[in-house]
Amino acid sequence: MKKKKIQIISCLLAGAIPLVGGVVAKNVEDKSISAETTTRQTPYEPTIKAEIDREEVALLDGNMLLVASNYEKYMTEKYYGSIDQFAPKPVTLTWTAEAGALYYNVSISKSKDMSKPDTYMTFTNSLTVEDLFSGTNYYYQITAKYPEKLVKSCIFSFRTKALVRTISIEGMTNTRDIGGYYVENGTKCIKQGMVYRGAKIEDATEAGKQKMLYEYGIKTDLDMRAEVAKSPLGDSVNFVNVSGPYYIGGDGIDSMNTSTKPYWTKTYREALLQEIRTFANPENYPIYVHCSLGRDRTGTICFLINALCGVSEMDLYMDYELSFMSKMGNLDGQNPTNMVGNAFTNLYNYIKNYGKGTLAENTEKFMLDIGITQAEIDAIRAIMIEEVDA
Amino acid sequence: MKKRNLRVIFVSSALALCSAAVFGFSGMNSYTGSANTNVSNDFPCAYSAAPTDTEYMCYGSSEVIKFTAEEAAASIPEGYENEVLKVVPLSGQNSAGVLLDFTEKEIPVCLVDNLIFRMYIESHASNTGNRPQARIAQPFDVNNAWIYQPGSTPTPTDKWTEVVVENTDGLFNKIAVDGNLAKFEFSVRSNVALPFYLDSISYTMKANDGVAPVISYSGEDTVYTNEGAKFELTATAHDAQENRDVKVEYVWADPTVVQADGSLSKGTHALTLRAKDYYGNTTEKTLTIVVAEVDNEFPVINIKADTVYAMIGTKPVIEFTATDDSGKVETGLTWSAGALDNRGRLVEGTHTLTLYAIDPSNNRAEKTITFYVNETGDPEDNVVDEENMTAKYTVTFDGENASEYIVGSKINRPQDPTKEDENGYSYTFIGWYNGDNAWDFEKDTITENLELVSMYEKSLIEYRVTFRASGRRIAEVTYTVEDREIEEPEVPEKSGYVGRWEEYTLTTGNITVEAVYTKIEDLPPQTSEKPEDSEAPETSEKPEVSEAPEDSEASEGTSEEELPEASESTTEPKKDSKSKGGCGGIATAGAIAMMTAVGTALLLKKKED
Repeated sequence: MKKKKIQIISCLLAGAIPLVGGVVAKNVEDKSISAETTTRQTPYEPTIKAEIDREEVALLDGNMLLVASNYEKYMTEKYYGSIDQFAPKPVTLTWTAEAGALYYNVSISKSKDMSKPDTYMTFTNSLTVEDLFSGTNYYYQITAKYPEKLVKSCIFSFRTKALVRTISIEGMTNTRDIGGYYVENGTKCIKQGMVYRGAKIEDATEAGKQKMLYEYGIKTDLDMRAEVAKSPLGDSVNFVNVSGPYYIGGDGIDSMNTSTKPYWTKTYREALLQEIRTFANPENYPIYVHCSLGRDRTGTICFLINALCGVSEMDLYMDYELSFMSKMGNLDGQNPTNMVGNAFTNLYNYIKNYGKGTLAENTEKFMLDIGITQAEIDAIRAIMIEEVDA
Repeated sequence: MKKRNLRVIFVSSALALCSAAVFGFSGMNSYTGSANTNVSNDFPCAYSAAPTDTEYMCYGSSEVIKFTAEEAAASIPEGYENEVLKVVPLSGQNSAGVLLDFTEKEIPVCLVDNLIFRMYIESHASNTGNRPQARIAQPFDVNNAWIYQPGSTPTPTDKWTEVVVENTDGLFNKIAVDGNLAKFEFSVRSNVALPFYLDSISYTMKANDGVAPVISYSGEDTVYTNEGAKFELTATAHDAQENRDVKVEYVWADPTVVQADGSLSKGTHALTLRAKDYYGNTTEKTLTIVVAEVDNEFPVINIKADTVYAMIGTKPVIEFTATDDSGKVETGLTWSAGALDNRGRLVEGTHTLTLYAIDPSNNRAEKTITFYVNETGDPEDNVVDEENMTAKYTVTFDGENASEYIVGSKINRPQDPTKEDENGYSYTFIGWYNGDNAWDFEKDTITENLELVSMYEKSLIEYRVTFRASGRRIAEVTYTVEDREIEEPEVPEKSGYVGRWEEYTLTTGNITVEAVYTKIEDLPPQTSEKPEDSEAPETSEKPEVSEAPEDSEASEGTSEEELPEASESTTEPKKDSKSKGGCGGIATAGAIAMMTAVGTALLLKKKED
C-alpha cells in the first residue's frame, strides 16, 4: 500500500483548541447580583425545612403512571385486567423543625400569596395530602406551635405533574376527573373539579358517597342508564337520568348511518341533547357523569364535551381508554384494542369528519345540528376552560 | 356379599399412591325429613332426604330409605356391594335427590380427585334424550346452580354403574366450605317419577406429600407479659399440598396456667404452636412465655399539646404514638360531638379531642386536648416569621431559569443540558459548576446567589474515510480535526484502466472516496512533450462503466466483510487545491511505465486548474 499523508489545517480550530478531555466552561453573560442579598452578612437560616420544595410530584403510580406519561393508542392492552389501578398517589409532605413543637398547622394554597388555603393540623412532622389537582402549583407553609413562640415557615412549593387526575371513591372504580387536559396550544386547560366520570354510584360505600357529596361537592348526578329511579347520592343532588347513546357513528347499533342502521332515533338524539345541556348550566357543577361501567355511554359524552373544548386527539383517546385500567371498565370482558379501535374510533372519526373544521369546530357543528344552541356551547366552553397554571 | 371398607387406587400415569375410601350404609331406616339422626360411623358423609326445591335443585322432596345388604335382597336389583340407599321422588316429582354432607369429615377438596357414586337407575320408556341424568347441585344460597350434569349422554340404566365426577378446574370448590368438602345434592333427573339406588360413595384422594405445614409467627421466641394481662398471640400455618392455611393449635405444657379471664399465672411457661395437615403431617414450634407481676404502669401518650388553635375548616390529621412498658399498646381517639363537619374539617367553636392508649393489662391512659377553632387560628404572639426573615438567593443555570431559593436549602437539579458537536469535537455534559467546583445537588446548599454553569467534557470526533472501488469498500481510515493525516490504500488494479482516488477534502465528517479509472487507450501517448490534449477522459465509478474485477483485492486495509457500514451520510468529494486524490495502480505489468506517465500528467493538470 502506498502511503500518502495529507495535512489539512482547519481554519476554524487551529490554534484555538483546549486540550482534549479537559473541561471547558460554557460562556455565560455575567449577571448582576442584587445588592440586598450580597450585603447580608449573617443570613437567617430557617428552622423549618421541608423535604419537598420546588419539586414536581406525580399523583399517579404504577402502571397508571406509565400509561398516562407515555400514552399511545391501545397501550392499556398491556396492563388492563380486573384489578383497579385508579388509586391516586397522595403527596406526603415532611419537614424538620426545632424540637419541642406542640403541633403544626399547615396551609396549602394554589397561590403564591397563600390565599384561600386548605388548612391541616397535625402533631407529627409529616402530612399526607390527597385529591390534589394535576398540573398545578401548590404552595405550603408550616406553622409550628411551641410553648413560647409560633414559627411560621418559609413558603415552600411543589408542582403536580400534568397527568390525568384519578380520584378514589370507596367502593367504586373507573373514577376520574375529565379536566386537566391542555387546549389552545397548551395555554389553557380543562378545568378540574368540575366533571367527574366513573361507574355506577350504587357500588359506592356510604363513606364513598359522603366523599362524593362533601369532598368533591357533587351537585349533579348525570346517570345515563335507562330508567333509574333516583340518585344513590340522595335528594340533595340534581338527578338527571337519560338513557344515553353508546357511541355515535360506525356500524354499531348506535350508528349515525341511517341508510344502513335505523339508529339515530329521536329518543337518542333527545337524550344526547339533555346530556349536553346539563353541562351548559353552571349551577349543575360539579357533575358526576356515569353509566354502568363508566366506559361507553360515559365515554361518549365525555368525549363530546372535551372535544368541544379542544382537547387533543391523543388525550381524548387516553381519557376513553383509561377505563380499561379499572375493574368496572373490564367487567364485560371487552378488550381495549377492539373497543378503542372500533367503537371509539368510529365515534372519533364521525365527529372529526362531521365538518371541514377542527375537531372542536366539528363537534360544535354536530351539537348545533342536534339542537344545542350556540349560547349553550359558549357556556360549556366558558365553564370548562381555564388558563393554565404555568 | 363381601363388604368393602377401603380401596386403594394407584394412579397409573403418575404411579402416585392415593388413598381412597368407600363406605356403605348400615341399619335400615327411612328418612323423610331433614333430620339425620342415625348415621353410622363408616358412612362417608351425613345424608338426608331430598331437599325441598327452596333449598336445592331437586324439584320436590324425596324419600330416602336405607337397606342392609340382606334387606336389599328382597327388592333391590342384584349387583350391589353394600348397604343401599333407595331414593324415591315424592308427590309425583320427576327428580329424586339425596342431600349429602361431608362437613364433619373436613376433607380438603383440593386433595380430592373425584367422587364416585355407584348407583342403579331403572330404565323407563319416558326417559329420552339425556334422561335419566345424575347431577350434583349446590345449595340455592350459594350459587343456585348445577355444578355437574353430563351433556347429552344419559346415565346408564338397568345396571350398577359408577358415576365418576372428576374434580377438574376446581369443581369441588363449589361444594366446599372453608376449603373442605361440604354439603351438596346428588340427584337423578328423569322424565318420569323414578327411584334410584345408591350403593356406595367413594372418593379418590391425592397421595400424602409427607410435608408438614409451615407455621408463620412473627413474634419473639420468648414472650413477656404480665399477670392479669389478657394473653394474645397470633400464628398462622400454611400447608402447601392443601394450598391453604390450616389451623394452629396452642398447646400449653401446663394448661392450668391459663386463667379464666384469658390472662396467665405468674411464671415461665412453655407454649407449643402445632399445625397439622389433613394427613397428619405435623409442625411444632415451642415458645417461652414469661409472665411477670401485675402491670400497674399506664401507657404514656406522646403528645405535649393541651390546646390547639386552628382555623375554621382545618382538617385535623391525628397521628400519635403511645409507649408502654409492655411494649404493646392500643391507641384510639374520640372527638367531642359536633367538632367535625361532613368533610372531617373542624367547625368553629371549642372542641375536645380525647386520645387514649390501653396496654395489655388494660391500663388506660387518656389525654384530652382542647381545640379552639376560629377565623384566624393560632394567636399571633411571639411569631417568628421565617418567610420574611430568611434570605433567599437566586440561582441561574447558564444565566437562565432564575429561581429563588431559601438560604441553606438544596437546589433542584434541572434536566441535563446538551451541547451539539462543533468543529470536530463532541461535548459530554459533566455537571453544573459554581466557579471551579462542581455543584453537588445532593449535598450542597445555597448560601449566596449562584450562577451555575454547565460544563462539558470535550472529545475529538473520529471521522471515517471509506475508500471504495468498483462498488466495494477497499479500506477505511480515520482522522480527526487535530490529525488529518491519513494513509490511503492503493487503488485496486483494473484491467485496461489506470486508477486513482478521486479528490476529497477532510473537514469534519465521514466521507467516501471513490476510485476513478481511466481507459489506457484514452491516455495520451507517452512523449516528452506536453500533449496538446492531455486531459484524458475519465470514468466516474459507475458499475456499468467499470466492473470491478472479481479477483481484485484491496492492496492493504480491511476487507469488505470486516468493514462496518458508514453510519453517517457520505460527503460529496470536493475538488480542492488543498487535497488531492492519489494515483492508483494499472492493470498490467507491461503498462507500468505508461501509468507513471499518466499519473504525472494528471497531477500536472490539476495544478494547472
